[in-house]
Amino acid sequence: MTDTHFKALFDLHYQPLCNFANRIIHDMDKSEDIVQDCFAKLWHMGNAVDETKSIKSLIYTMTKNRCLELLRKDQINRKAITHLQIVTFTEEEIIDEQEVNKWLLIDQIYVSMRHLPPKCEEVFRLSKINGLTYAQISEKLDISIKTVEAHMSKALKLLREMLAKQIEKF
Amino acid sequence: MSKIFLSTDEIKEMKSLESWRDQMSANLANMQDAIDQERTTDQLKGYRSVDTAAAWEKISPAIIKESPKVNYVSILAQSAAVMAFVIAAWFVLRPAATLVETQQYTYDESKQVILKDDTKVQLQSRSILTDLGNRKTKLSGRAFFQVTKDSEHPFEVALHHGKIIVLGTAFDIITNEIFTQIYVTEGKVKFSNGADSYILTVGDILTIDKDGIYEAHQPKIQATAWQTQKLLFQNESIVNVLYSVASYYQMKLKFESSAERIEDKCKINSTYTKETLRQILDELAVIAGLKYRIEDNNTIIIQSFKC
Repeated sequence: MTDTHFKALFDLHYQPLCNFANRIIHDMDKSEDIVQDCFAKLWHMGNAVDETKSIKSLIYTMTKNRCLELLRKDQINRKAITHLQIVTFTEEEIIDEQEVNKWLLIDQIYVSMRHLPPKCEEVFRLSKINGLTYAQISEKLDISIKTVEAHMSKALKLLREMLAKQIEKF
Repeated sequence: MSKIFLSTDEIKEMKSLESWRDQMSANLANMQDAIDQERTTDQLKGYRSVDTAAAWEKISPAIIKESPKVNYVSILAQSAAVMAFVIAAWFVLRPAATLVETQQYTYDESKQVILKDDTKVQLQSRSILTDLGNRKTKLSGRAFFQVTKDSEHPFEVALHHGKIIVLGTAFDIITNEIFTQIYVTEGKVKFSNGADSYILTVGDILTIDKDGIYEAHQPKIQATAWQTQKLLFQNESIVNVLYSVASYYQMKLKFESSAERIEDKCKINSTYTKETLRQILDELAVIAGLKYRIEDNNTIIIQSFKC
């Protein structure tokens, strides 16, 4: 792999990978460290990388395994078992291209959000990123629940249109 | 034949069903798309942006180091020379004023700390406040800050889940490894976790935990009651009482979606001083029909209430 290819791989997958790791270990700083280490390790592997397998799949699997390793250490050190209860991956599991593409799609939606009309973006962000209910959004923004629903429906429609050209099925 | 036995409305309905059947595959595909879209966007919860360019800057030296063309001896020699020069220059040029003494405060009982800029911090027992100098602090535990105004020098509090930046205001913070909660009693507060920033004003409550960031607004919450060790409610709504009680006992408060729709009509008149959390909630269960459960020893989940 050339420097340019490696940089392109890094640029495309760094943010979704950090969020993928954060979903497992619930610590964004550590997630960034893990993803950076995995990319460095991938580069050092050089020709040892099995070219018949997907590099995308490999980097996600490496990241997942490092996260599980960290959680295991955490469990030993601090008995922090609460996090483990929601981790659904296993050490043996290979992260397939479908899972990788799912994270790329989530990242693409996140990036596209900024192109939504301001009110639409705010409602969508409060609902989907911050996890507020329609009732909470309605109270916070001083608008009716019907208006919240209308903004959400418009946001989903616009995002769908924005992504339609890039992704076959959204 | 059917037209003979069926009424006009029934014929219309039948036609509509036939039309739906004819377009069934397209309709089903659209319905599946809508479901897929909803599922995918649900995955966005807690999604954050990261600085990819900065991360590349950090990682790229490790990659360059592996390049076979690099002359390590030369790089090491140059680096050593640069380091020696930088260290020597720092010792010669360092201004005396940059030496800041770090001070840590922690007590067995609630106590007020007055910082060098006259900012007052009421520190709860066993909480740890670190004064890093130049209006920069770090907190683990709970404290109520009354920050002196200085528009040129923002006051910062580093927390377990981000940091707070203010110019001059008052706010209550609970911060530990599990969650952080900020309640603003005066002025404006900026919270930032590196990826996202929030501007909070009076009555805003921001809670940050492993599942994300939640915003609520309760202007009458008694967030600072822990200082007087007394919760006094006179004709207060049940939701406000619950927020005050949760804050007093350093608990997160979450409402199940069915409970969010209940109209907040209950009015509570009570005083609590030495009661346990369970005793208060059980009393509210009797007087306001409260149904709740406690999760992970740090979250009160409200299922319903009725008066």
